Amino acid sequence: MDSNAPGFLLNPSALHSVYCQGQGKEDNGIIDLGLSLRTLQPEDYHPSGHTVSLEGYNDLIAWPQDNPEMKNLNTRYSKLVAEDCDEEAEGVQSKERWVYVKVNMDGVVVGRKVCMLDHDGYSSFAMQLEDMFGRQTKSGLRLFQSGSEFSLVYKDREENWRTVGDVPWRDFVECVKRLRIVRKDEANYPCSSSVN
Amino acid sequence: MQGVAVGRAVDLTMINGYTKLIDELEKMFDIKGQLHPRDKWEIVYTDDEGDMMLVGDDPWPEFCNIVRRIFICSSQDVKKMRPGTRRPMSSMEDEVTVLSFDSAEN
Repeated sequence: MDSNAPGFLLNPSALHSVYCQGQGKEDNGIIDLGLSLRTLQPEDYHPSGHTVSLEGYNDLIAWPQDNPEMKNLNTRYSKLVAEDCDEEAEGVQSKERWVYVKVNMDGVVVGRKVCMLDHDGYSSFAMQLEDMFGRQTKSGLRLFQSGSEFSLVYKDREENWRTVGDVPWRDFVECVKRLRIVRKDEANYPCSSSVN
Repeated sequence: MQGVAVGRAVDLTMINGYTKLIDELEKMFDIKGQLHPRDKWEIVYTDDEGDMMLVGDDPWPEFCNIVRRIFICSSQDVKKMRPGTRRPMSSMEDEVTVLSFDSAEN
């Protein structure tokens, strides 16, 4: 067998299910034997409404992770793309934007981005923020610790600023849109002109 | 390089990741090896919402969608900037305009 032959040729039952799913309706004179990886990409079928069962193919198809252009992606971002490939383009785009959340800090011009999916709880999340912004302070952020000079607030879906830590982690991840590290002695939530 | 403000443009469709972007910027401004270490220079960008962010935190495709301008600033000058600054001190820094499908239409 040709060494370049796609792996799914070894799985004839899966090949059969592709061949039978409405291939003829979009026929433009070309018989598609499903031998090309390109024909099995989900996005090729969305416009026509034909869906191809990808059961059994997940292990055989070269998913975007193997695409050289995607090698720079955070692994979890790749998973997010694969999982959301059936969603509307708008929904996918808005969900991706919220997974990477902007973080700003009082007194610091340059903001950072954090991927909320990188963490399973508040403590590892606080550690990343410490890593990103700790050097801006004399004694570190020490977020959530008593005696810390800083507190962490977030903007939720309703555009309200709230204190981080009140709700369970998963609920927080669902609704956080933006974050800010504020100095406690400034007391008020960030509603000054320097904050978006 | 300090004191020379020359606008340049970089085509992100020709670059496949951050490493290549930094290589390209180093070549463009003749500062080979100085950007990767991130101790002397900060590479920041302004996004589609007008915020100034550090380059490198986003997945590359997302970065390409949202980036509008890239700035290479000395680490010292970044510290001197006041919050709310949308642009660095333009007389001191080099600015790179980003060419992508979106920004080309703007």
